[in-house]
Amino acid sequence: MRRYGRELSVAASILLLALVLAFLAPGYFSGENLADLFLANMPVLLIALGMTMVILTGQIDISVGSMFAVCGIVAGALAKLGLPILAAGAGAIVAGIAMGAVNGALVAYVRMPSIVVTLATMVALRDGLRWATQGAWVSDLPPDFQWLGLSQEVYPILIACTAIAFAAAIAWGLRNLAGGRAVYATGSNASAALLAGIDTSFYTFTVFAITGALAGLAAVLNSVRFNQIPSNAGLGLEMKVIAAVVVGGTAITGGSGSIAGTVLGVILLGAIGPALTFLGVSAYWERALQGAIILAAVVAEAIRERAEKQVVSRA
Amino acid sequence: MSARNRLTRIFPNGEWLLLIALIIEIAIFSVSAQNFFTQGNFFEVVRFSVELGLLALALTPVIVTGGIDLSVGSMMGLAAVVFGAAYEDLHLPIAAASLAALLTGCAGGALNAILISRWKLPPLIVTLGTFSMYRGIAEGITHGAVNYTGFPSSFLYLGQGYLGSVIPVQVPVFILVAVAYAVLLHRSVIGRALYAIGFGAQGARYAGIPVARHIGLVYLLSGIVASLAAIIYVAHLGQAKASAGTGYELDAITAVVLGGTSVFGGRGTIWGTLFGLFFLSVLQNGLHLAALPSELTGVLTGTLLVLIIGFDRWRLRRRASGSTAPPRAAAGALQAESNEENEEVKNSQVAVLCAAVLAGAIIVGGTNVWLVRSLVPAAGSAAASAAVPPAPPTNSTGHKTVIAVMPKAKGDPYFVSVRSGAEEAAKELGVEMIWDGPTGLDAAKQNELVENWITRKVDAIAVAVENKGGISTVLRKAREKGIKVLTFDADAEKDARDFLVNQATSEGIANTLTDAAAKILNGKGDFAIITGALTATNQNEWIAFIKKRLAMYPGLNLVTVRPSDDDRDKAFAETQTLLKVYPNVKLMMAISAPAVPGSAEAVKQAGRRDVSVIGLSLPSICKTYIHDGVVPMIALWNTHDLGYLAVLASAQAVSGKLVAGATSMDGGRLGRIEVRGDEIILGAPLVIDKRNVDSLDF
Amino acid sequence: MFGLTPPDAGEIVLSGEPAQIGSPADAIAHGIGYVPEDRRQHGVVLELPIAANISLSSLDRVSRHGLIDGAEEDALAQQYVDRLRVKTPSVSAAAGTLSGGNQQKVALARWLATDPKVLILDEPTQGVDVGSKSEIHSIMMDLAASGMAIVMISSELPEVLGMSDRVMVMKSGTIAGELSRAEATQEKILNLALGHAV
Repeated sequence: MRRYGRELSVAASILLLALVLAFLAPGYFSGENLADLFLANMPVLLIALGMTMVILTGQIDISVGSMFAVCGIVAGALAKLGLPILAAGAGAIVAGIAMGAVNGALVAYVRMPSIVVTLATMVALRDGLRWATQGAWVSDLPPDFQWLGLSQEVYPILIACTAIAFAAAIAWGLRNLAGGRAVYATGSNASAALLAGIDTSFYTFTVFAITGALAGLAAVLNSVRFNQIPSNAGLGLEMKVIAAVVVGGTAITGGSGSIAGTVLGVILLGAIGPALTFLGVSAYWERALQGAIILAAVVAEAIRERAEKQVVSRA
Repeated sequence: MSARNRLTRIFPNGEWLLLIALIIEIAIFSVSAQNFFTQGNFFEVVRFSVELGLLALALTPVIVTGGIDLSVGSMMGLAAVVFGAAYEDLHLPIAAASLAALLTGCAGGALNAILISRWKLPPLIVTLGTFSMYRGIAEGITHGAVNYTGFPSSFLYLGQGYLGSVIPVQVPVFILVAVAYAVLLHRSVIGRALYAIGFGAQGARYAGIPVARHIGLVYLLSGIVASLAAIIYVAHLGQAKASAGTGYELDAITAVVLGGTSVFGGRGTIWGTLFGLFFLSVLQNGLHLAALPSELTGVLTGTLLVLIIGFDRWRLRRRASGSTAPPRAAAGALQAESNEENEEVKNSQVAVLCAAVLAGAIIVGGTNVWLVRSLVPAAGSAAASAAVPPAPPTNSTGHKTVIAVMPKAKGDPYFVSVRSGAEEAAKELGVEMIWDGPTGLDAAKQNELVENWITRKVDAIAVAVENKGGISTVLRKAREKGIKVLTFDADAEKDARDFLVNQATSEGIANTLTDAAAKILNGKGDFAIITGALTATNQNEWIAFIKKRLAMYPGLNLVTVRPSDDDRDKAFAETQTLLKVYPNVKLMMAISAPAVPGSAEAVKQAGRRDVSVIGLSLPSICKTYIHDGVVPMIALWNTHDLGYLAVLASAQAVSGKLVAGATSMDGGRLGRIEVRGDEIILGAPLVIDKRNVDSLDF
Repeated sequence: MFGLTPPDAGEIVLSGEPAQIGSPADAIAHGIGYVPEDRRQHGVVLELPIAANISLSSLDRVSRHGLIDGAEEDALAQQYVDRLRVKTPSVSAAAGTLSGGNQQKVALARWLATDPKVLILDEPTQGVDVGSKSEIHSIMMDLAASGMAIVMISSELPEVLGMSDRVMVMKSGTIAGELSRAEATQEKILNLALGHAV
């Protein structure tokens, strides 16, 4: 029971929110609304999977929003050059991997602090993209770009399967694969991990590259929901992703956390915004409430932990 | 003590490296940028560094203890709003309002301090939460819209005046705070304790240092200094609104980290932070004076950050492996660094890696640029001309007329289209045009650019004003120096400019949209507004006029106003939610350029044929929806022509062809243009629908 | 006893008066010093100069109105460096550049500078070379002779026997027995520690 304490408290918060909504705004639970909510939060979810691993190794990546924007434009640009849509998507993911690898190499091998490296790449990529596009959107995309040429009904199912598959695979891998264990070990005690023969640098590098790939994938899956691609996408995305991961219980110092927690964190934070609209809260107070909810989640957790410790020490 | 020893004692973290970089930077700009190396420019750079500098100073001890404070920028916004509200709504005197702002900072800092030092919560998460919360409270208090202006000139003097007509008034304040922080960190008992905490909180506890109290103190101070920065910001720009200080936290952290302060804690100096700060400000100022695009700032900052910190790490490691010192233990700070020197990597390997990483970065960057370049001309839209790489204007010839044009935000599709018109006029007239502006809505950046253009001695300045109160002082200064000043898109105070190029009034826009809505809904029904950012001045003005016009249509009912933050995807999600929460809404009025396609796509995907989207946007990004019938109409003036006319009128004002009192002017390809008083009239707002959308190229 | 962890039970009596100690700062105010066992984590700050390490717990002595007087600090540090014979070229060198034994002397110097009445030494000679070890021992004898109460915590029997006036044997958190210098032998101590009757 204690092992899943954080996941349970987030799940309880979601339940509470759901109960309030069920009484006051039952329309929230229409299949259509849930599907829309899922699609809107899919980029956050995918990137949060990678971010969870990055934070588990004791690092952080604040460049994901900029990578997301760059990958979207790359996908659009390649599609316009006449490449088939799948190839364009693959190209964007490769670009994501390349950017993630630059972050990873600087952090893992040059040993620069990750917050500095990703701060630098965040600013450089964002301004670089502004410079290159001059703010122009990519439009007049080929007709089969939207929905990957699928129908509007089939596409969400495809994305849902993809996201669930990724979440499940990463959760399983972190738990059962040697590499997953190595990620936890790197974050909880890097020198001990090193002495145990784990190539901590390699795993640090890899999680950054994976996060880049996921940012690329998220960008592609998000762009195809529309028929043009803005050049200022993903502003502030990094904050949303990090907030979801830490609310989901992953320790910012590394070494502890779970994918299940992150998924719940994404659900909680993603559900709140529209829920406030459904409940008729004015848009002007929304941001304040969201900040307060993050703080409340962290404080509640601290109180729970403290109570637990007292029980243990008294026993 | 040897000279080398003294050097490492004063600059323990290789700050000299940054100092050399700063000197090189200054040398380069002295040669390449006009009027860069002058006393006046020096003080302007300092003036524009003050607010950011205060935040950077406050962050230095925080980061030295191994913590972080992301909430400083939001704290600035909240303190500014409290200050404005105290002065204007509660009619308190300036001193009391300042006190209220400082107390707000105190309270905000204290909340961070308690959560971090007493509750032992990670600073990154706590301040991430308060980062949203403080900004949110500021937006809640003002409803995003209220922009407090009308402060007495004696107060504005603090931010805009000069001591002995040379030194900006806020500079001594900054120096005072800097000295106080230097003493606190480097000379005081507390400072010593902060370093000990940064190197290892446990060890500090064993030495009898009250760790929690010291950590609390730095966060408390950080809140107070952020509110001081807010007061100076308000005096500087003459306005207090909820968006003050947006994004400043990252700039401040960049300055601190660039200055050699380690995010792991323990290492860092105040002078390092000052070097970092001035390195960034000089870079920005120099790029403006050399008429290079502002976007280079981000690219160069990022690259230099990596280079300087990377080199520093390499140097540290070399020093560590050279001495007999054992590897240092985990600092237990933000991140475990325990394996730092356990694994010996040869210097040559590091160099190769560095080179490889940089090469990778360049390839990635280069491909992106190439891709986009290769893509945009094929688009065949107006963006094509905008994407032609702006030829860096050589300015040594001197006699060519130089016209500086500033949009509200560079990346906005609206201004991209204005730019293409402006470039057309510049080419036609053979004048040199500088096009630069903030990358997001930022009144402070606008002021800074105008100052830089005055220093650069351009012939005319044309500005799309973000904030009237803030920019008028500096525009008056430009006029005093003989520069012709025009405004377009939105006006400054009347005496601060020669002419306004008036595209259409806010009231005209609001009326056009409201009338169209009434026609589509047959005078009866619910509708919702999707705006840009809640704090956007223009949009709030339109909303006010729309509400006024609604009196004429009692059947129309505005159910809610939702923000889209000028983000297409957010407009999309907001519309999806609105359609469900308010099933009776039959019309979405989207008054931000990216919001119209976002909203229209949501309506289309929901299959709601009964809902229409109208608004203010560009034909190029709404074309498909107009043909689909989802968007029956959008309103806009011809943005391309607006840019064209702004440059044309500027050039004529410089050459003396357009003087005060004229009733008409030669509008080039636009024919005769009416001049009403000091307003140049572009024409009525353009209604764009199925019939004319394909003929418009912007 | 030093206020690092809240006490489970018992009271602290100093010179006949009960003392309330809730934090290390309280302990210092009462004249208690504690040289911790884990030197590298808790005893010295490796990155700070030797002078800063020595003055860290007695910054009041080298400061006025909260501001540190650099010259006075160096003088204080130099005094202890000389007295404890710390081998270093300068007091401004980082503590991390010293050998283990010299680092331990710096940790000791930090506490001597607070002028304690009671000094607790936790495994003072662990991981210290033989030369420094005997030097540390003789410093301890001198201090005890000058009237300071020294509590040494050690798991090294010969050291315990050679140094102590009184030996308290602890076994799983409680005191198993007390021996005077005369009656303390290796065998008796081990018996107490292992829970046999004496």
